[in-house]
Amino acid sequence: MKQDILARKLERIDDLPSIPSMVFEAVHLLHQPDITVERLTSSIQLDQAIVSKILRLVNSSFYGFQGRIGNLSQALVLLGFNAVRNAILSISILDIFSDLGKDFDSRLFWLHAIGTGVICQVIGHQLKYPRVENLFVAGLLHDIGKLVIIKLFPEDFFKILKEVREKDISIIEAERAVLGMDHTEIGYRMAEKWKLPQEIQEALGFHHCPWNAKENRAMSATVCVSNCLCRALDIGCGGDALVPEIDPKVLTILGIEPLFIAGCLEDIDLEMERAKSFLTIFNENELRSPS
Amino acid sequence: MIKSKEKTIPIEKLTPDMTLAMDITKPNGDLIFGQSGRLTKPIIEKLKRFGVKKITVLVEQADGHQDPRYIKKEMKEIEEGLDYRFRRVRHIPLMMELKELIGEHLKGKLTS
Repeated sequence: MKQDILARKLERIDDLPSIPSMVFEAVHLLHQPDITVERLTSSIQLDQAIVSKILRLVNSSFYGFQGRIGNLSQALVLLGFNAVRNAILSISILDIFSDLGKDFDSRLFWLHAIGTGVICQVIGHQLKYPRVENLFVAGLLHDIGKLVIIKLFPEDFFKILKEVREKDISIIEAERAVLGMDHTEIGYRMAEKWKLPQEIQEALGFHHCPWNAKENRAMSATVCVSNCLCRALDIGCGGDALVPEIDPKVLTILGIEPLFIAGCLEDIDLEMERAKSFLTIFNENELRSPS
Repeated sequence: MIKSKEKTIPIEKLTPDMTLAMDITKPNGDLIFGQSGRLTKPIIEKLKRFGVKKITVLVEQADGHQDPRYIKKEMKEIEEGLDYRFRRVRHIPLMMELKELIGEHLKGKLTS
């Protein structure tokens, strides 16, 4: 891959649509210690399309308040600021990738993404991790770099899939061979552009090598283990049918033994059933405000 | 409705239909096995090797029975699927341990 071609590809990545300015403002406000529900609601209400999707999402079985949340203020009070912030972020980012063409089975991709998010959350709960909501977002978005490849370089993406099939290699190896870069580098770049929390940026960039993370190695390590487990359990598809290796260093970062992972499997089954409602968010026609 | 209750028993009496009532940790605090995990034979053997002597479990009742031919077929499919997905890491002991644990879990779901 010649350097100038790679540079041009990277420029195109930087040109991808950003998330709406309202989202940046809402996320910024949600970090303020003295923010009120009223102030936040008035900021988010400006974008009714997002409000409608947030209400649809927070009323899904994923959050466990089915049909009870009628407006944003209620959502903020019942679910908490972090959960609403993450719902806004997830919806906005997924909106950018809502149309990827008929040749790509986005359902299996999102099932893998949601599965990884759910597994991250289960592991986070078991380890009593303080920001479990961030873990779910990190898992949900960990492969977002692959969607950037599909959206911007669809021909390259189908070459990548061909390499995976014909050479029986992993998708990350095929990405490097075809593009000269991989989805983790692209994901990290996008997360920076979207100003996601630093630990989530790192999880997108280092979920195949968590020991390189600086801010929060545990989050990257959790996404690494969750991605592997999601593939092992055959939940959705991340582009190949291979379980990636978990380096023993990853378990050391988390302070766990392999048996600990087995102990999470029951909860993963239960949580996956609830989280499947999250999939409806990817079908625009299904999104509507609760009656 | 399946009922369960806490009971502390010697590790030798553990059976795969039991669930831990609390986390098992190493002296340094590292989690070995979370309390909501389902026990399988390989897990029990590994807990013994960790030096665990007594354990508090929630005892559940197994329910019902299914067509053994169906279960046998499903189990074969689980094994073949795992062999396929783990084919690139079959030389790595940690990954094979994980594969075994996941296999036990998936097969356990068929009979529970």
